[in-house]
Amino acid sequence: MQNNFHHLKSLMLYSSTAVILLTATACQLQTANDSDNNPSTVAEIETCSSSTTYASFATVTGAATFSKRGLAVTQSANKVTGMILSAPISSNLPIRFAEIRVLNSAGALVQCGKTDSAGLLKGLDAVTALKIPTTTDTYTIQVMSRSNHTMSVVGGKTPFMAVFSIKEDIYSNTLYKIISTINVTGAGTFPTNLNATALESVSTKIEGGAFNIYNNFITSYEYLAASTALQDLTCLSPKLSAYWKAGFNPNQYVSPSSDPGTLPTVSFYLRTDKELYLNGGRVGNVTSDDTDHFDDAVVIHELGHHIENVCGTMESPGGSHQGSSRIDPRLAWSEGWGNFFAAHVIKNKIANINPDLSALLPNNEWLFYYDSKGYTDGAVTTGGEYIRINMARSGTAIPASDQYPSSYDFDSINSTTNPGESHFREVSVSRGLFKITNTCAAPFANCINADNFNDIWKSFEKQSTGMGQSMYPFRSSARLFDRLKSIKGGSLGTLNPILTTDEAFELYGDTSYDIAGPSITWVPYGIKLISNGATPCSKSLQIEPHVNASLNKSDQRFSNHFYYIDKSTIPTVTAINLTATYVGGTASLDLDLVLFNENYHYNEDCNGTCSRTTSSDVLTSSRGPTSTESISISGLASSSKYILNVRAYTPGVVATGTKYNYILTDQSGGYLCPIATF
Amino acid sequence: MPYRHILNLFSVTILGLFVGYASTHVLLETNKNEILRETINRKISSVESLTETKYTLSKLGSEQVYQDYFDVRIKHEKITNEESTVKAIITAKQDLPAGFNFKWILGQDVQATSSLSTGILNEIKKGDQSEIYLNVYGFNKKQKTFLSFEINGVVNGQKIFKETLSSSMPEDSFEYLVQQKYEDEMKLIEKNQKSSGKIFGQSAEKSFSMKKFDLENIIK
Repeated sequence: MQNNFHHLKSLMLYSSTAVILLTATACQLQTANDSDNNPSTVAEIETCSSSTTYASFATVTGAATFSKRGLAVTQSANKVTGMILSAPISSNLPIRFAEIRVLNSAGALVQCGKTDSAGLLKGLDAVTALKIPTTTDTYTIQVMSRSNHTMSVVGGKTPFMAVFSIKEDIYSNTLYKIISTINVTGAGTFPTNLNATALESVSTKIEGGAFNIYNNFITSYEYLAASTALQDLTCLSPKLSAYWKAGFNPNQYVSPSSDPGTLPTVSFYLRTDKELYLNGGRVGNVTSDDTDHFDDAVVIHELGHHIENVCGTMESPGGSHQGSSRIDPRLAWSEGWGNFFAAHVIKNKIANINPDLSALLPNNEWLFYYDSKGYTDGAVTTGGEYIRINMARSGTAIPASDQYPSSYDFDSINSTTNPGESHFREVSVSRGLFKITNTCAAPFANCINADNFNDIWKSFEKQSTGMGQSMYPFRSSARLFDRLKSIKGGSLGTLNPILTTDEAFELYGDTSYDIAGPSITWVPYGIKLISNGATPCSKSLQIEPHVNASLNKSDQRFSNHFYYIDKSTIPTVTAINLTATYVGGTASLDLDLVLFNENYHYNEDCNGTCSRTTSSDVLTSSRGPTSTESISISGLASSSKYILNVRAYTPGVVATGTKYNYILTDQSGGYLCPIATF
Repeated sequence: MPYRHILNLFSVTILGLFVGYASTHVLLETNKNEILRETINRKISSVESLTETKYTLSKLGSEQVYQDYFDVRIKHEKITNEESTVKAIITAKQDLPAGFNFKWILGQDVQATSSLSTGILNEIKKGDQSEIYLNVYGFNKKQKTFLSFEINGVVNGQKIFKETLSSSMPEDSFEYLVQQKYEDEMKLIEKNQKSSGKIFGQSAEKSFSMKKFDLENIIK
């Protein structure tokens, strides 16, 4: 009996153990396989960063390359009239400085390596041979869409790292890879070549798209390394992640419940996470819809945002920008920088970006921000243009044939009637920057024909000389060109005609702002307001309200003035008073005072109907329908930065030539004026 | 414990692992087929119950402007291996004058069998809908094919363009997976809020997507 009981007890114990193990095993496998259908966030695979020494070794040789779709260019009278994404370019391009992993047939990692500057398979130093064990086995060579490489710099320049990954999606964090296998039978040399295809018919993942994005990054980093003299670029060293998937529109991440077929395609930069999201198409379509993986300008534009975020200071409020109206100057600057940087890097590194392209272009010159739609390659004929903007053209004369869509204006300017408006126009910012640091031949011979990129970088960065420094809040092209002027020794010299005639970047103090009185009609965005005691400002301030721009937007160039309020500079000022005087034009308008916090979004007054609005970014405002306004600033922190907006309320028609003078005073009647030097 | 019992326990453990491993694969394979079948039969729920009608992010101004005037969706009326029927539904947000051009664009391997693939929209009053039908071959579940519906025109001096794309197998897209992930998250949030006594929708916890992809953080 006791023995039977003992057997029964043992049987129960064994049975329980078997059931538990069976269940546990099943659950574990279920969890692992579930990730295919219900993705959860998985960490990116660890970087392969250890080199293993083998006394006896086999050497792996060969190259890693990628193919990309090229552009079919049409032209007339030395002008590009169309560009369409087409068949892959004539030769594959090297995948440079990418991570290599070598696995044995059991899946164990046996070596780490890196491709060199020609895409050749090398050891981890990207120089010595890639050595693996001589043990007879089938080895898998993987070249990953990840870089962890110290960039080559000139002597005396601090080295910096190119650390970035191109990944499939935010849930799996899977790197793209190209794979080959070799059968090792002992010591010797084992050649293998790997290629990432541009064709979805070869691989639905279109790995060539991922490696083209990779190539855009490494090429841009190379350009910066070589074009910024001894300036410190270690700001670029922290890791950057990019997400892209063929046939997927990342806007779905932003609006996950939306109808994918209706959601517009878009690429974007996520500034807090330092991540790029690049458009791969929509609902699986890569043939007729907008895609960006072979649109080098779009990829580098987004990278430009990252560069501004980490090496400069990004203050863009984001929002809609279409190159069709005057917008927030912080947004115009940030987007203009991205467009410029993209076109500039492609022009100056075209052999690395697309070696076929130069020969297809008038004067062998790349001058564009370009975004394709679909492709045409013989079998597929659904290619078209999405956006094409010529960066070298004059801002004042823009023939429709020079751009796409031809019906778009893309920020034409008038430096005579609208001086300074370029600071508020994204595409004008792009053109201005491009033209002052490139060489361009006729019919677009509007460039300086010299390389000023290093000085532009000095004006842009945040470490020593640029507007990224904390002393220059509320950044725009007005500040950038003011810094450039200082770096150039106090004069923009030959750059000035390009900036103030071909475009409209008049700076503070330009005579175009002076009118009889004497008055000035504009102060640069974000100029500091200071106390002037009992002495009136050297020139009275005049605002020239314009009718609202498209989409009912207040005209930030004409209907608004913006002053930087640094309470530590005006510690005794507790209130700001505004007194406006009608000068001419529409007499029914009035001026208001609006005080914003540092990272504000401008609150529009008109959206179908108009009212004097406020928002959570408005700390205080005085918006009565009168010619006098007053706000208290006694509670402002001296350590924070604020912006005072003098705004003309423009709900309806505004006659041409409308003008109001205004004065700003403190609680005691003391005058408040823009500082003499910006 | 006697040596024999340790041996028995070890044997049963190995047997358990073996049986568990083998049966799991069989079970999962069955489950996978179920999931696959279910996926093929599912539809994107948000197409029918779209609540978000205004998109902030787009590349062209005309794609922003259209949202002030109308919504466009493509609905699969009938999907078969022979003739399929789709319709574009245009919902006016403001009174739309007549004269907008529309065009169906057919992808590779899709052919129209009848009805007009281009035309001009009649006037649509605010809140009303207009439906444009198209019968096609090659738009089915056998292979992924595409078609799109374009509208362009000018209203109040503003150029308007909108292209709406439709896949014959929307459930096969990664967008669909993102939608499902979001729906699962929202269900979980709702469940958590109910269990903590909160009313869903009031000071709701944000989903992963809503937190990570806050428009404040996005620079396009």
